[in-house]
Amino acid sequence: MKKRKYKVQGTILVSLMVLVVLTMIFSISTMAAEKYSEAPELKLMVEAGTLPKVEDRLPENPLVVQPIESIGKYGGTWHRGFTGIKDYHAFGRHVYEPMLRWPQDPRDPVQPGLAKEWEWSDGGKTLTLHLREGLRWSDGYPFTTKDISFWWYDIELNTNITPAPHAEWVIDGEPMELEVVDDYTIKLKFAKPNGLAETVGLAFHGNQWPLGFERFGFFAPRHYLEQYHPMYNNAVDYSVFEEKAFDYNTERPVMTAWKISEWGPGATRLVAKRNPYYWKVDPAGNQLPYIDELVLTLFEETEALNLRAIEGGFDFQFRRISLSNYPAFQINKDSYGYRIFLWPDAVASKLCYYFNQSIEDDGLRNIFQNPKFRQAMSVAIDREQINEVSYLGLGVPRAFTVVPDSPYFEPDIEQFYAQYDPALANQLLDEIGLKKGSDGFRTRPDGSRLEITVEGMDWDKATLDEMELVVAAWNDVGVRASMKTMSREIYWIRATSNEIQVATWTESRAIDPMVDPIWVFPFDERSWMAPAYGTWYKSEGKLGKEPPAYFKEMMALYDQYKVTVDPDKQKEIAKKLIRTHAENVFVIGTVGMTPNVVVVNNDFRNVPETFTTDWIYMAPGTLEPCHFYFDR
Amino acid sequence: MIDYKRRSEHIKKLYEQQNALDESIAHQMMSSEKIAFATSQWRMMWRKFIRNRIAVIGGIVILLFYLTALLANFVAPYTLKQRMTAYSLLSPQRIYFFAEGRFQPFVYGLKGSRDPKTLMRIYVPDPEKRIPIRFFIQGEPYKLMGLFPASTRLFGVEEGIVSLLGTDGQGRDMFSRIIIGSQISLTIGLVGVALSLIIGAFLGVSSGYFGGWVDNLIQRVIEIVRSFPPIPLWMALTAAIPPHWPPLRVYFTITIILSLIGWTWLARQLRGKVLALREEDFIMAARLAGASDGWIIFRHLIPATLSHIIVISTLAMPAMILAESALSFLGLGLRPPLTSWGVLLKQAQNIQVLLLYPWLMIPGFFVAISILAFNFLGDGLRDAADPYTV
Repeated sequence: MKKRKYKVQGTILVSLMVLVVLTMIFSISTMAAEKYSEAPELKLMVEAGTLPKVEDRLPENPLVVQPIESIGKYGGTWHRGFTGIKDYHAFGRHVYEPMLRWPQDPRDPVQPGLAKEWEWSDGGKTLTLHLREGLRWSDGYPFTTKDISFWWYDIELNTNITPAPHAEWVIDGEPMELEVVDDYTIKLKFAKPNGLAETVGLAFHGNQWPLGFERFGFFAPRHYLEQYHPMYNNAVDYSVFEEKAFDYNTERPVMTAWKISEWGPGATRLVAKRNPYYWKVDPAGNQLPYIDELVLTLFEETEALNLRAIEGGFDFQFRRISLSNYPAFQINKDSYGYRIFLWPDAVASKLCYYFNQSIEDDGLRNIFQNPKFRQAMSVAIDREQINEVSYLGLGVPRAFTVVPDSPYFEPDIEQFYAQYDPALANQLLDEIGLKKGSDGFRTRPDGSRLEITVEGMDWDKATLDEMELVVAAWNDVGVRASMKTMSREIYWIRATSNEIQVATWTESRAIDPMVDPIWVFPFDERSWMAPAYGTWYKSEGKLGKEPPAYFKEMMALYDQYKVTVDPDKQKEIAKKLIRTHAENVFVIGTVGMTPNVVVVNNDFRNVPETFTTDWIYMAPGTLEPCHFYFDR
Repeated sequence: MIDYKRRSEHIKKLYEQQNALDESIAHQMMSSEKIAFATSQWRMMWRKFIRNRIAVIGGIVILLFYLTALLANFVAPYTLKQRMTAYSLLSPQRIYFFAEGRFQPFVYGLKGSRDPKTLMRIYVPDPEKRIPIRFFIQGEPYKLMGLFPASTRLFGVEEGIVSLLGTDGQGRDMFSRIIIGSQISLTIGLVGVALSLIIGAFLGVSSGYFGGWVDNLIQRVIEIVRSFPPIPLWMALTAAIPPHWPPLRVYFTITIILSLIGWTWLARQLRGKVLALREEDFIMAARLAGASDGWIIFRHLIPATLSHIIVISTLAMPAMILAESALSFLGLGLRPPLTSWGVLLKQAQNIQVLLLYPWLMIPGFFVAISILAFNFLGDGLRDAADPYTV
């Protein structure tokens, strides 16, 4: 369904472009000068002589955004809420401009972004990028390949800023080599074919460095940052550089639709204003964005943010809106004039459970490493009940694996050990020698007491309800379990340092987990099914603990994935990894694809009624927030 | 040389004789009609106390609360672990007392579904299905007062659900949770006050009695402790509790933390009282007679201030209960699976409860009632203990 819509849109696009070209051929250059139009406020500035003409601000071939609903109108302030400086994504995902763009439909290939074309040569060892000619930073300075080489040599390879370059740029232990051909052409050369460059390197990590606290990127404004870089200016140190390069710096030039103009210590709102040099247009030649400015109000508490949203205080937002409030939104939407959409979130499971297979305790580790134990724990859970209690019946009871929108999805894996069958659970537990005592609780095979602690963060009420239900279900099949929750700071440290027996998390990455495969196999310390093995893999065997053979096989498969450029072959490997993961129940899922509650003002247009959100895809960044508009 | 030891023994003997004489006189007078002239201090307090209606009501409410807490598992129709998810977020049920003209409490059976628009749980009573409420019904087994295995419950139903105060999101009966939660909330007051009483009485009386540098030191410590705003101080101390501690240990630690800060009021008031008392003739006499400091403190000063101590501790109790609720409400005190009123209130701390499920805030009502009752009782006791009021 979705695909066909794009094709129709594609046909419209082609015919429109033909029309534009024909008009251009038959009219003379005077017509071409009026090809583009701009926001009224910018027009005034052009007339006053404080800003160059729109034709001079746009690149030679600006990116044309196909509207989701219709061509828009200029003007308006987009009100949103966020929870503070750590909540950078509340802003950042709406101004996400990488080198190559993720497609709107995740099954499509990666799309052109700042780079208009790219090609592989040398059997996958060389990637040539062609930038759009005439791109400009928000201060009007040209955007060129120098901004990429500055990032690579002075940020990514500078150990004062980046301890080690990101994995997608280090193939076989060799960092990539850059060859700047001209201002708009650059070649990336790798020691071996690089299967991660397009998706991870240029789409996911291809943004302006550092994207809030994520500290990844692919370019940075050389002309502005050079003066604050200790390599070029002895008078400053790296803390100055970090401050100037940081996203919250209001002076820093950007390539995004809006640029932060108001933010600082003690501020209670973040204001971002239109970038007059933005490089996208609509099919009618109107320079984007339509909306004048974004205003994000600071809320200390998610509850307060939700209350504001219920009162219609936001024009379009789903971040930090809790599903439990859905009834309240439905009751109030008409009186406050907004619409409510339910967008599925690409979460394999809203809350998932990792039995730590690299835990120090030998007895527990042996139990947790037994697939039958994890299968038993999985079928002991009544997922329908959890869906009703915590997610208003809106989620999908399922195993922990990729969602149907993923290119690696196969229908059967979703239901592996996802049925509710306590009898089977008891039988499996009996089989592996965990005998039930007179008190109804099981002991370890050596007869000693079996007790597990499930740890989690201070989640919202619905998630804590689910956690309590799962812990109760495990007690019901005789595995003595208790739960503990704590603040995120304490929890994260305990989990990544291999101290938690059963960790929990709300894990996204269920469309393309290969981009950051932390839940597929022990990839790094964030892989809580075995953080110590993950550390071992990340450090190439220097740190952590050596994993058992079944994990090593998966690691070898991923190593192979990394050096495969052919998309079909990559897909084969990924599917194999995903299937192995599901069969072994490395992570236990309960209810997934729980929807986001999306609050959309009645006047706010170009927002689709359904859309699968995922953090890897920076949702809603792929919807082109620059073409949202107010129909007033 | 005066033999102090012999002399003090002699005085002690005299003292005991005098006591015996007093008692026999009192006894004689009581047996005669003229009670008013011979009533003891305690009896006078009691008479004054029962004239204060509000204080008596407060006292009765508190007695009831503690009795219910003691027999919580018997009074509550359900255990903490019983989740009736088919009846989650049920609003307080209406109880009908008379069926066909005679006393037979019952509830109607319920049909649960979701509102198609708002997706809220809705329950429609089925008028065809009357579920009688039975008394002394057999329910889930439990241990009465944590000791005696039992399974009889005060009331319950054989099918469906009886939920006086509604259910929470997991389908747990709020009435049962509040009753069982009162065990922790009310005992934290009792234990906490007992602890701060020991510290406060000891330090306060010593401070007043010895004076000098001892007094100075203790008073400055009190000022330091008091100069911290209490909530941030509790927050800092409870934040230091390791997150992996078992719930019971957390409970006791929090009690200790609360009492470590709560003793200062008592200590100060007792000091003032003792400062006045130590100048009294009977203390001087005891001292001249060679009584040791310990003897004077425990035999004279503490009994003389006992009424005061009782009043202060009664008034300190609600502060403790409130402190526990406040801390748990902020997520810094007790955490699930422990159930206290503060924990229950913490779970009601979101807007959907405020807008859609207001009955989950009922634990707050219980906190308020218990605190009011303690305050009324404390006020009544203070009036009764003060000989200068009429």
